[in-house]
Amino acid sequence: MRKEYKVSVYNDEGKEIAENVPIKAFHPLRNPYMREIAWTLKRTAIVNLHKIETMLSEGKAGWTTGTGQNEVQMPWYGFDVDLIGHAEYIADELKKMIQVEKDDDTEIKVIENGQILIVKVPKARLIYAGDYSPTFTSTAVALGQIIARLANLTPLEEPYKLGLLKNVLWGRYPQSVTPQKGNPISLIIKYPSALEGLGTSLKSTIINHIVALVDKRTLWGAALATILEQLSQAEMGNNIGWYENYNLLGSVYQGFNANNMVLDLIKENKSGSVYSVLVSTLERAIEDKIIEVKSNRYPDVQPSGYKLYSPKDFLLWNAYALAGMMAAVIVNVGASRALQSAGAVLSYFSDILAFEAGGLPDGDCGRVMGTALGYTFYTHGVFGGAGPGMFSLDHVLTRHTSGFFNPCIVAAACLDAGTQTFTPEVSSGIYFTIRKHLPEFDRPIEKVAEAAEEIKNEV
Amino acid sequence: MAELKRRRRGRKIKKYKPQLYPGPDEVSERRRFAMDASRRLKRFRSIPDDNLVMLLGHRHPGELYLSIHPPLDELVEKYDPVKNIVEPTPGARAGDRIRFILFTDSVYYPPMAPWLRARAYLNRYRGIDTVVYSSRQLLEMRERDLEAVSKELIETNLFDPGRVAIRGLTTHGHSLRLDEDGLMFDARRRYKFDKEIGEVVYIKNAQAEILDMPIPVGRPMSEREARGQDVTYRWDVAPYKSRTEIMSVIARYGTARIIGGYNPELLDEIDPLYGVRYDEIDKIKNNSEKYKNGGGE
Amino acid sequence: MAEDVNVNKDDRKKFFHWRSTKIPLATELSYRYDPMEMKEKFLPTEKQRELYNSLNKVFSDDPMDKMNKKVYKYGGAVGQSRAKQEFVEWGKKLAKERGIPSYNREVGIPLGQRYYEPQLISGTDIIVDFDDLNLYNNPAMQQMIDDVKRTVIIGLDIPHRVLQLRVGKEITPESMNLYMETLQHTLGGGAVVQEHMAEVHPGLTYDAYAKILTGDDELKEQFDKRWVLDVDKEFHPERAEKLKKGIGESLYVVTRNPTLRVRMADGGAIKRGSAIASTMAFVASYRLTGEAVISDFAYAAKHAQQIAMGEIMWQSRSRAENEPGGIPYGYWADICTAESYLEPKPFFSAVVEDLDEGKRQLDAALEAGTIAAVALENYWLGVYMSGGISFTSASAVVMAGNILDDFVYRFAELLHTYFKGHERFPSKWMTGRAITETAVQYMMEVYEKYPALFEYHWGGGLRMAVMGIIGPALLSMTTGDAMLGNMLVNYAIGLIAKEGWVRTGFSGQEVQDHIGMPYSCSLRAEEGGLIELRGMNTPYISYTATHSAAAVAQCYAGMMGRGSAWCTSPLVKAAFADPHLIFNFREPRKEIARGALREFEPAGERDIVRPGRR
Repeated sequence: MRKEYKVSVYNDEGKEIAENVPIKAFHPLRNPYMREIAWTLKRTAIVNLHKIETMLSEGKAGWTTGTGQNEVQMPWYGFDVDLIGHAEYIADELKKMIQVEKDDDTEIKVIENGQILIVKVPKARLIYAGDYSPTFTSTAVALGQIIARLANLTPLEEPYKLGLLKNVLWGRYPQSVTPQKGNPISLIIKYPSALEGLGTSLKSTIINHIVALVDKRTLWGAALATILEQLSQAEMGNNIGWYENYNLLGSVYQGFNANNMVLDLIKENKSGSVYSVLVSTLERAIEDKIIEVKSNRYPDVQPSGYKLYSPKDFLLWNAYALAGMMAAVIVNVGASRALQSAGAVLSYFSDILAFEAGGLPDGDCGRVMGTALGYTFYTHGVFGGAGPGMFSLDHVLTRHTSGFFNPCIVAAACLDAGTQTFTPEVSSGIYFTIRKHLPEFDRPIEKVAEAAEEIKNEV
Repeated sequence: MAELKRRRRGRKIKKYKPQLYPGPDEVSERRRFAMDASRRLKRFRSIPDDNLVMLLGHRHPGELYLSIHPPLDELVEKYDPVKNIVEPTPGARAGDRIRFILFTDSVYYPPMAPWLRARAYLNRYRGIDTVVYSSRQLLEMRERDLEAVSKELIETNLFDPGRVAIRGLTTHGHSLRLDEDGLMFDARRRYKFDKEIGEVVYIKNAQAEILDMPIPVGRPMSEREARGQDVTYRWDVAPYKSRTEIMSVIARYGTARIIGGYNPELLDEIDPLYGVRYDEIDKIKNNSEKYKNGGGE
Repeated sequence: MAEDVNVNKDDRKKFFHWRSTKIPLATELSYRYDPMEMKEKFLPTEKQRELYNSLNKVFSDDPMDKMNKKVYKYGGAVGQSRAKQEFVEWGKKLAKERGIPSYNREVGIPLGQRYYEPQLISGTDIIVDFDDLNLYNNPAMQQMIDDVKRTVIIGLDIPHRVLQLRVGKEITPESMNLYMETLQHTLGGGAVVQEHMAEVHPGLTYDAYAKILTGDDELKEQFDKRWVLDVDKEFHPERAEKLKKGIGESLYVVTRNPTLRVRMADGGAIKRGSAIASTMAFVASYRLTGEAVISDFAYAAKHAQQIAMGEIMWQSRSRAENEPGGIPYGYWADICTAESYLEPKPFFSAVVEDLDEGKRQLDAALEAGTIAAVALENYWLGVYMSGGISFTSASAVVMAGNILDDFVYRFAELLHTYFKGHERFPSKWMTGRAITETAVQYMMEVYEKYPALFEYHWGGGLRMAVMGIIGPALLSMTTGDAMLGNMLVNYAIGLIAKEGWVRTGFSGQEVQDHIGMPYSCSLRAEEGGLIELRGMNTPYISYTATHSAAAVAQCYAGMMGRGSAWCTSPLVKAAFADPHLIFNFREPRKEIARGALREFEPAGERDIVRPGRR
């Protein structure tokens, strides 16, 4: 029989949102809000009508670069069609074509004066699909038909226009594995054909996107990243059995500010260092009787007086270590207001913690430390990928933990004052806009806690 | 939080005493000393501010700091209650760009070594970014913060002009034999031993650009002195094989990680030091007459 | 510093202190001795070691001297190295000839401020230039990987069944031999089906051939000896027996595509090349026409019964089959056949009975480490993944200077002297942990005592790799458990070595060690599993260097420890004991030395079709 754990969840202003909720209510497959996030991620496509219009008129499609995007130029194929002016019409037509039954849950929002559409495909399209491809494919095919009709295209006259239209909507796909970078129709998560590994889809979005989705609010970022990570843990089968409480406790303490621990640690150490956070964490663990020195004899007390702490409840110790880790990142990055040190804090916090506590394992039993070391190396070296914000949560450098690494990086990225080349504004500008129209991503800590409160008597 | 605070107030809790690092020997003690933010480093030498700036080579003495973003006070930021809790460092407040200092530590009786540097930096300083390599240790900070910290790192006992070097590029040389003056090898020859003043002088800055005038950084330690400062275990300083405390800690640490990786719930039952269940250990302890009577004595 | 160890008994209090348990606990003082005095005592013994002599030879200096008075006075790398002089000459020549500058020693870092040491290939007397061990300069190393990449094993049971059941053809020794003869023709690029075809010059593909492999002696006898891979001939009789049992009565053909194909295309082309050559040979030798049945031959050769060396990789590292990154560690261990003529006796018993036999087994394990270091560090990570010029040092530490040899020999002597009457160490973490601690501490001390060795393995990553290979491999050797060995690699690098010097390798080196510990025995999706079946495509392994030699050495050592005839696949083991291979997988270090001396003749060259060569 597994132990029952209960926690209270506080928001980033220190206000209690849920009291004494069993942690089971935070299981990604039980918590209604976490489910909603998964559902939104899977079924939302973002259509940039403005970009489509420009691409069509300039004859540009099928690039491979992230910035610049002008290595493929065939201006002789360009043609003009007014899409933004017809945005409402396009949305109506799109809805008719995408919906499976009349008045089903298809949703299409026209925003930014018709420049952007947010498309949510109906349940029927996804429930009877093997994966979430229909979100992209059905939107792209329907849009192709609508634009072809709007521009009066026909195969019998200037057929190149149809060719260009297809490539504008799909990039080089299927000559490439996925549509182009910055495709005008995009998903929040990766295209299914770009996924590497079983069960990594729900976390396959980049750190900067999450930062933009929570409008750079630190603990919201941590919470949203935790939700994605834990959804993915469920998707991978990683939070089953032995690991269920382990994952749940770790995520509520680290990501949802359970018992206000993260916020307390930050406040206690607002002018402190990483080490002072570590000491506060240990202090609290001893005080709460999570760890103890089993006796005052050897080997629990070593000849030099050094104490070997033992866990009274290892799962809780792990959760405390993870919360301490989050606080340490926020304290250090909050001091420098520069994201780049997050990886360093995660790796060396773990190392220092183990020697401070007499060999108690660090957060996630070393997974976070190893992942962070690699991340630090690759964000500081010639073999590197990019600035820390450009990695996706399922990247081979960031994916090796039980979902406890990326939330800290996201929190750090929220705190960055603008030291990066690829800031969220540069890489994920559109997400700052669409977040206003996707209320799902607003106030994640509050919502997850409220949802847990709702179901606390059922679990 | 409120509840926890109440609990805390209700009981008299003994303040936690940091233990930092295991081991009764001097090397462990030196490691603890380097890591312990509450202990002041011993000041061995003095480097004028301008010399330091020239040595680092990121700006000219007297030049203004370049900034990467507007000062925080002028920056319009989105509302975030957490952002304002932590006090930013002066450099961050001013929006300085982030610059670095790299130290290479020789393997021959170094007063600091890369992993220990990481630990000491994170214990002692705020707002830092650091990466451990085998020979060198990177420290990145906002520029003015970096200068302040660099000064401390060079002026105190953590620096030995002969065996620790400031290098921005071509950093290797830590494991090479020492040169005829007992200095660590440097392929860029940034420094040399000035026999007249008996000090190590830098003739190039960290980026190996020739300096207008040589900068002395102090007398290199003799081998005897360096041994007294060494933070590594060596066969001729303090042999590693007899470090039972450290070995116990890492044995416990490694084993616990393996058990925890397999099934975290097992760690409540199994002692990672001996790899045996706690109740069995108790049984063994209770049954052992020898143990009760205090071992062989 | 040092204090006298011979103190009065009254001073015991100084050495021990009593806690409440009343157990005397040793303090640091009890271990004190005068190291300088000790040095004088152990120096004569040290001088007899292989290590001392090799380093003396390589550095032409006393390897135990901490100071190098000649440093900065060597006159640069060009003055010290024949290879570098040649490079400079070529750089000038090219700049003149093509009008664009080429190799230029004046740009970038000044090389050779320190001693630019030559490399002594372990197990040989051959001393070569460091540059000659660079993968680009060494044709033997390249051929080694080409030979692996161009190998595909195809099962013949399905095609034979199809021929008998669906086509009604009789399978006779004559027909099977005709198929094999045709296959030798098609693999090299000869046409058999279309009557109007341009073909490949056989001189370009002289290294393409196929051989029959089976564990059934009677079946083997029916084939022409020219194309039989005879396990009995290539292995120690006891190993051969075991292998034949493992291979079973099935019939396989080991195909070697021409090296030129590897050079032109990739492993995916090899997979298809073998399949099409085999199918064509069936069509021609059994006189089949374009009927539906032929697709079964193609399917059997390409999928159902094809054993490619490696599998396709994840998209971000995307490669086709048979590329080095997709080959599991266990296969690399099988690819090394250094042990083929050794008796398959578990290492522990072997070394306890006969020290030399034990040393031979250890040598074989180091040969496997060499193959892995070249294939995975230099080639896969150093060229494919990093886009670099191959990490030459990463393989040099494994195969040069007799360093690893010396380390393992010392342990062999220890076992031989003190463990008579024992059969094996138990495969227990606690045992392994203790022994690895001792081994790593010992190696660290050797580094400390030999400054020249420290300089030789100048990067932390190199030293950590050595410690990761040696200690844990000895455990795998003595327990027969490669998994335990791999767990100890993580422990050795990530914790033991780190705390001694508070220094490890480059910062990302320990990724595999810290992640590896919790991953080692986990049952989650991307964690755990046998080390034999992990490899460079395993996500957490894929992006950090200096562990693959250790991992393959663990697999190989496990095999030697068990006394088994193969590590993962008897077919792969047998396929690489083939004397017709261009690279000799029995003696990789010697072959690489030949390559460095420019005495190795690689295949896949285009000389025949170059101007004036007709």
